[in-house]
Amino acid sequence: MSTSWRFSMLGFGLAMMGMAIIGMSAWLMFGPQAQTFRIQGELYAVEPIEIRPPRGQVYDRWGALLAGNVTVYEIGVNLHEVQDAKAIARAVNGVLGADYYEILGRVSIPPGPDAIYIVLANYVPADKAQILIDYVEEQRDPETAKPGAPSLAGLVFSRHLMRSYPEKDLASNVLGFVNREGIGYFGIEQYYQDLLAGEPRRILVPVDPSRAADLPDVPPGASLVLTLDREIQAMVEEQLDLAVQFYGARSGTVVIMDPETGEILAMASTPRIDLNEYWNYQEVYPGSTPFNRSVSKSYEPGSVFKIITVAAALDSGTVRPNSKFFDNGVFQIGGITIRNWNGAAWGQQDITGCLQHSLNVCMAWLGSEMKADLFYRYLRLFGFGHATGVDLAGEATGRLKEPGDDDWYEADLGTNTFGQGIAVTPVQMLMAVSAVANDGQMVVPHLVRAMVENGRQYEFHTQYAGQPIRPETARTLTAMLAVSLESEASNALVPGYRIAGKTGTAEIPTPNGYTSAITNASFVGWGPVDDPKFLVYVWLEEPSASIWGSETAAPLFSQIVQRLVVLLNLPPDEIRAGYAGP
Amino acid sequence: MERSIGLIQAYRQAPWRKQLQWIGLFAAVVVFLALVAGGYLSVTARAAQAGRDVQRLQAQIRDLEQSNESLRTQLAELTSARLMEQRAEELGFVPASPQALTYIPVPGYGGRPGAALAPTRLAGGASQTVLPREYTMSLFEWAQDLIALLAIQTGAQLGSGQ
Repeated sequence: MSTSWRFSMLGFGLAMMGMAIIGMSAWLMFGPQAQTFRIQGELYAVEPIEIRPPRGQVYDRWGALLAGNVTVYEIGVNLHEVQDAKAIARAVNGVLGADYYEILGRVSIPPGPDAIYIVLANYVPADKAQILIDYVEEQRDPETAKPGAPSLAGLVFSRHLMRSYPEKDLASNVLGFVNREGIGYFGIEQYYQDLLAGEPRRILVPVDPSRAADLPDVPPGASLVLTLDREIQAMVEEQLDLAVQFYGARSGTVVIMDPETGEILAMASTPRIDLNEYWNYQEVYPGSTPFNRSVSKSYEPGSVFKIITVAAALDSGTVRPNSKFFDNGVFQIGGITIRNWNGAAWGQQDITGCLQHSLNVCMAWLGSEMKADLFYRYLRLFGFGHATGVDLAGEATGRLKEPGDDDWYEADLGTNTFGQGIAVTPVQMLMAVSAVANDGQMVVPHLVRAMVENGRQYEFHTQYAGQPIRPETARTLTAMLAVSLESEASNALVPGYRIAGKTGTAEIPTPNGYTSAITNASFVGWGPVDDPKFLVYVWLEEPSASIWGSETAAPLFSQIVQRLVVLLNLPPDEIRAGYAGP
Repeated sequence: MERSIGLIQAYRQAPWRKQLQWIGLFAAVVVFLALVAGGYLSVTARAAQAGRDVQRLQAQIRDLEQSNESLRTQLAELTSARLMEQRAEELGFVPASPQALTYIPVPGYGGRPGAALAPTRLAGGASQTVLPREYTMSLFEWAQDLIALLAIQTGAQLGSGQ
């Protein structure tokens, strides 16, 4: 009887306990505080994280990496876990060179709801961070831990990527740079910011491991294959630096383009900066120094512009190559007197002679013969006064004054014909002259050859900017320029290769008018004339060794092209003719 | 009748037998519930473990991708134009001049191809991840396939028998 009573009580007790548990659960689930618990639970159930895709790489045309990413570390400290603040401060001071007392002050903050984690250093190179990581791991492992050794417990290492430029300052004017917030500045980095950076995604990750789901696949930023050739770029930069120094120039710019496709093979400008130390920007580019003169600096080009004037005159039928002009040394237009570069009268000339001797008087005469409407219509067709659309940030549009503008006078028609009173960028000149080098078709200069996104490579194709002149005009003018170079035994000539081109020596406008003491020396040339593979623009700003383009820019052009033909695997004309056969 | 009387008699003599039956039933239910709870706990623990493994592997993938990026950049630094030129000079090489070159025509050679970092077209799905059907099919689909296979085999046997 007593046994039965005990069993009944045990059963009753267990049943009541079960009922109580069920009741409690039901109260938690449906009671007045249930909603609050649910919200709190959801709040702590997930952790927001931002997935920033790696920035896309930038390669040269052959696949050499120009801009990539390296692993760096953020080193922080979990204040709750700190055992020896002095040891941490000593270690961080010893390895990273950070101020001991500053670190100690930060690590010694008492942990609390507002003080959980503190960043000690960021963008720490992997090799330095690894020293601390190795030490911490050694201490954690019971087999390797040294008893009594200072504890670095609490240090946290988070790795992430940082932009890096393995070639340092090579092509820096073209590439631009990325700051630590991932924003691109100048050049390719700024122009293609959205493509390169990719799309960061902010997601909520469940803390409950049983609810762990795959993280969304955030594709990396698109990679770019540039048209640049690293070897040509390196050679051009080396030659340019030597020339700037040798001729005592204030700065220099060289751009090499394939006139058939518009692909820019090299684009160099001074000064350049080691892109891995972009914070020196203000020192390297003081004041309003342009980052890339090829696209951002417009200037009066001088006599290289005569190519455009003669192209317009020939194409419009105003003159023929053998048309005669008697140069008496002066030409009156719009109330001003135009004179030649040496003030002399050159007598009877044909148009080739006008180019060969770079006669301002002859050009002003051509302008007056064409009349303003026709001349400026050609300038517009050649793209002056507008951006070329080159895929680089910060392109300047230059300045083309036209009839109807408040500041245009008839005298401008005369001066514009020989590149005075008009402002252009080197890349504008390059695009315009590409029409002459490419049978009348003007190509848009560009720097991106292909884009790699989502595992596929998309090729960029040649874009044409119109046909300002007929193919016959282009070929005729090319031949005239080749003859004029050969006739004057120009410093621009390249043994074994027939070249067409034109020098330019432009006086620089000052508040007191033009001065001949300082000039912009330029040369634009292309070759081989029978099948042009390169178009080279050279600009030396204010050379002090000689003010003349023929004595500074032209020899630099020759030196560059002599190396360029080797790098382009371009045989001399004679050998190419032999291969072509009868 | 006699049998019933016998049972009642037995209960009166030992009533704990009946209680033992109830206790046994209760214990069986408890054991069953414990087994279900244990099974649930085991499955949940394994899911949690798998979840942790997934997170760990994803972190590992991120680390490896970052290492890959870093190594690629380090390689580019080691083979940078300036360093390669310096190494070439140390080995006694000099820049080639146009006069020092000999050109040999190679029929059919179209020049050095540009960088191809990825296929320009999606090549026949080769770059797509393709899971075998067995990994994605439902139980019902599996049964359907099995029946269809059996039907084909049976039909083939009948056909060969004729």
